[in-house]
Amino acid sequence: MRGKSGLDIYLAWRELAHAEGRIGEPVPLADLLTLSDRIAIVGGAGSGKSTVLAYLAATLARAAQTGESPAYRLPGKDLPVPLIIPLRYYRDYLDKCCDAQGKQIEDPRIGTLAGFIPWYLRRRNPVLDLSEDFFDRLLVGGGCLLMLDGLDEVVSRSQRGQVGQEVERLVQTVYPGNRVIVTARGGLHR
Amino acid sequence: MNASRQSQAETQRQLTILERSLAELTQAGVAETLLAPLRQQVEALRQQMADAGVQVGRDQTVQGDLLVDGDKIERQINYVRNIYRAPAGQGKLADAQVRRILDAYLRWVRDAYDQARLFGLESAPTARQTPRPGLTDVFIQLTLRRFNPPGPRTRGCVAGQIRPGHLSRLA
Repeated sequence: MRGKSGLDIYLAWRELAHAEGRIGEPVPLADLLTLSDRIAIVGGAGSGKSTVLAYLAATLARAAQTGESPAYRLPGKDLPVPLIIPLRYYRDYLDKCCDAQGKQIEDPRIGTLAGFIPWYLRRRNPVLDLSEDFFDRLLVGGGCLLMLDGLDEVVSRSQRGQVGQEVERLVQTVYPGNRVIVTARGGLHR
Repeated sequence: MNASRQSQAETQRQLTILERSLAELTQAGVAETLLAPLRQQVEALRQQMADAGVQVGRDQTVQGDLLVDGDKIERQINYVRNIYRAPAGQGKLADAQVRRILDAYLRWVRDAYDQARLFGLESAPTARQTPRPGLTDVFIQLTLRRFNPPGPRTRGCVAGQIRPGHLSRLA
């Protein structure tokens, strides 16, 4: 199974299941977060995967600020902190890391997905006065909803298996204690 | 929180960071001889925690003198406050600072994502005059179809059946 991530295998398995006429059990979006702490949303282009993530992020942020309950069930009594990471920028990050290879000794996460996440979030939030390691601390602390959007948009096709494995390591080893949703485009809807 | 507990929190935090780095470097295939000093440091910190009577583990937290209740932002801080309150190499962050940072971030999340994108239904001139609805106001709940992950035996079978064609359809 070397070179194939869990998501790759899952997608292939899903294709086989579909070919055999198994279409899956319908689940309302309102129950999504209670299904598991590791979720993959697979759908065709324009099927609304990114919109679902934006909706979850906006409603969780609103709930935290106003006390208004979101229109879906939460897995626990605490609201998770939403973090959306579009994986299509991972290539840019890797390019920048090529110029800073010496720094990997100081921080082994540079050039990995674990280094990309805080890098992207800080870049998206330049006006916020955040400490250098704000998002890293947030994720280490747990209790976040980490949403990795567009696994299929990552780098070259040959590197996707590697990135998929990085995602698995990230959620199991580097930042455990967080809920994770990964979206990817599936082949069936195209 | 007294000095001893602050010190334990700091030691725990250093231990967490070092253990994580060690795991990453090991996985990256770094030679054991290069990892030996880091491994010794981890063991020393573990011993230090054990000597202090603290069970070492990732979930170890230090209960501080802060009792928070009230709004939901403060409830979120329960998850992360131990890490924020005693960051390595920096002064302790006040709870008000943590709350301010999280609040600013969540406000940004709402601004960035609570926007309905009406592709094809608006143009630049009309969009300027029309108030944009919030995504959370217009979003219609979807129904998904759930596929449980395959078990280990099925994974093994499926992995053997994956052909380049399967994965190329992701492109």
